[in-house]
Amino acid sequence: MIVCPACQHPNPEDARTCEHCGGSLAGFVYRACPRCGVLNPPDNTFCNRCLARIQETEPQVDGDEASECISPFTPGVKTIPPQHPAAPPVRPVRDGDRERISDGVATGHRRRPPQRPEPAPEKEEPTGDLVGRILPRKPVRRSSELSRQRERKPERERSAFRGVPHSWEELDLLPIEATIARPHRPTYVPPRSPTDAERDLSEWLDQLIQGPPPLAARRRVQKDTREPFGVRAVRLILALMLLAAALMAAGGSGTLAQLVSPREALVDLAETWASLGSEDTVLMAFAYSPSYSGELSPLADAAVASLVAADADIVAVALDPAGVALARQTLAKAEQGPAGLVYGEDYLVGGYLSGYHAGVRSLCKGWGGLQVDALHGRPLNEWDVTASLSGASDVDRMILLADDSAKARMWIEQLGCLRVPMDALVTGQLEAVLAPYVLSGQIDHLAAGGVAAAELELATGTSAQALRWTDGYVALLAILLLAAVAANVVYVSKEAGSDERV
Amino acid sequence: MFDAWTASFTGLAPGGWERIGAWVAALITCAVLSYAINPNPVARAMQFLLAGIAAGYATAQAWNLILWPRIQLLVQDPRSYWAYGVFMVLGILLLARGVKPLAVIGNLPLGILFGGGAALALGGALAGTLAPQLRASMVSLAPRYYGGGIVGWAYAIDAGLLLIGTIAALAAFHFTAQGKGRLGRAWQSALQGLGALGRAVIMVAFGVVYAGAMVTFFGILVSRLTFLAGFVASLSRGG
Repeated sequence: MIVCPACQHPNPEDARTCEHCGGSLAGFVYRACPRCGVLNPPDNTFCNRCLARIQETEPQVDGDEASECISPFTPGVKTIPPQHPAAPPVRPVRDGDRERISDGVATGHRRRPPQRPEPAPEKEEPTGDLVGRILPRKPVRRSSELSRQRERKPERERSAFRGVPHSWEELDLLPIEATIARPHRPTYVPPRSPTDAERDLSEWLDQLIQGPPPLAARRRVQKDTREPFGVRAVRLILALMLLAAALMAAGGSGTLAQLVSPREALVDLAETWASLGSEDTVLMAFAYSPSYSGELSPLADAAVASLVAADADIVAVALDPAGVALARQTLAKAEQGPAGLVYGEDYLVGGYLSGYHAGVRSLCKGWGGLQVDALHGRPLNEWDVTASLSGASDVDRMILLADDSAKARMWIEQLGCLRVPMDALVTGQLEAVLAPYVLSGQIDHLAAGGVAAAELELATGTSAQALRWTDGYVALLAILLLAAVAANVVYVSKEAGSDERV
Repeated sequence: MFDAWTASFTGLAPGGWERIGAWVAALITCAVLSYAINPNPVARAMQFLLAGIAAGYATAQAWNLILWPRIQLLVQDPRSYWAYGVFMVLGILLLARGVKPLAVIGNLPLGILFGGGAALALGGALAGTLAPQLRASMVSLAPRYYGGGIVGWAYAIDAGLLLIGTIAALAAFHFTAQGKGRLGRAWQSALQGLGALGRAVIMVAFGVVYAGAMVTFFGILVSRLTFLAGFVASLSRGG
């Protein structure tokens, strides 16, 4: 069946003029898709069925191998001879034809008549402008000739494509109807050379697999992300001011310490510690790393000094070896002080609790993992401090020193079973996080490092370690206020400028 | 004793190790602080050194304080300390995770580890944080409850602010589709208004946390500078 290129009317295979519009079908050419073999109208650039490109890919009909493999689906370009000697009479279109075509149902109409004569001339025909534009330059062989060639080759029967139809006759379909009705079947696609885009993609993937490009190559594609000079200058000035404030704190004498007065909560905390007696034992948890010792050590020193003054016993525990080292360092200072603490009688470093949640929880049922003190080689229950205690639940008070909210929460949550009052001495960044636990009554007192350490020192009357930093903290406050005001002024002026432009 | 032993071994006078330690600490402090000027390989090397030493120290301490004493107890009195043997076998099974054909065996101790840890963490969070915080948010708004008078009113206002702040912060995380009907729209707009207030409350809380972090890091900087100043002072004294 030939579809008229002018009115799209389906005509019989041997028609020379369109039954509908009367236009000439002489020299009408339709192109076969190189991928799926479907015949398409001559103006198509892409296949109607599989969307493969048609016009740039010439059908490979030369060579035995190619014809063996792809000939069933690449029949090449087929021309309708304008002067057919034995053309049958034109059959008028019946009513059912259109439905059969649109439904894609194979009907008897599609069968090629077995007595159909072979096209007589084998030479190329004059095909006009359209045909000249899309016809291949090579001489085209007709499918019948190809079929005859294959019949001469017995090796075809041994090929991998045995049983695959090799011609349109074997397919038992008229070519143009295959666009509509023929089911998809896998075809052999001959390899082709990659395009430039594919080659680039392949190189990029190779680079990706092999790792990042060398530094020099990467530097070439890097954008200049440096900030403007003004921003960098302001940042440098701020950093220098912060350094100056820190130097004021480090080398200062605390001339502004007279402005500090302890808060009511911290005074209450100091009084609570002072009210402890010699029969009382305090559990101190060192849950901070040495990085934060600058902020938390003054608090720990103040607490230990208060407890020593009250003659209370101290049992120190930690979560990790670094915490044990901090505990030993803090208590060793008190040992060398005027009070003269004695290890085992006045204080004890119980070691650290391995296993985080499980380790802390183990304190609820005795001393848990703190049975051995490696430094002194005796179990905890052999020391005077802990001899009368069956476990951590017998202590009278607990002091938690923490630098991390997760650690602090873990101690608070897991040791609720102890039912002992807890004071938390934490870093400044934890104060806001742990404040709700004060409201809920899980923490009796909360003191943060920094200025609160100075207040606690004043309240407990201990060493003025944090008080010396008061000048630095005041300078830091001034810098932060200055930066905040400057940033807001810049922001407001920029907003005003953008409004004016709008 | 340690000083005497080290002195006899290396010929250093007692306290020599402390001086060497102070020098090393001062140099490492300077190297780390140089990161503030510009990121450089020396500062990066010090970070690696810190991580490596911390890991090595923790391993040595775990062996000395936990593993070795328990192995000794197990060997001396297996009947009393048989539980240590079970735990050690479980610990050794963890090593099977590194051998592909035996990796399945390591699932047992891993399951116990993660299951026990998750149960403890979840139970602690529920009983130690969620329930007490819920209880603490149920506050009375009556001044009479706080003793009446100006003080009672002040406490009542404080409790009201706490309640509104809590509800508003929770409403800030309430995301639903537009309500249908008059009641639904009213509820949606009330939630949106509360959510806006809640976001303001959260911003204030973040600001407080950020200010606390500033103070904390300033404290770290001051402590390091204090250490360096003390070190320089000890050098000037000839120590």
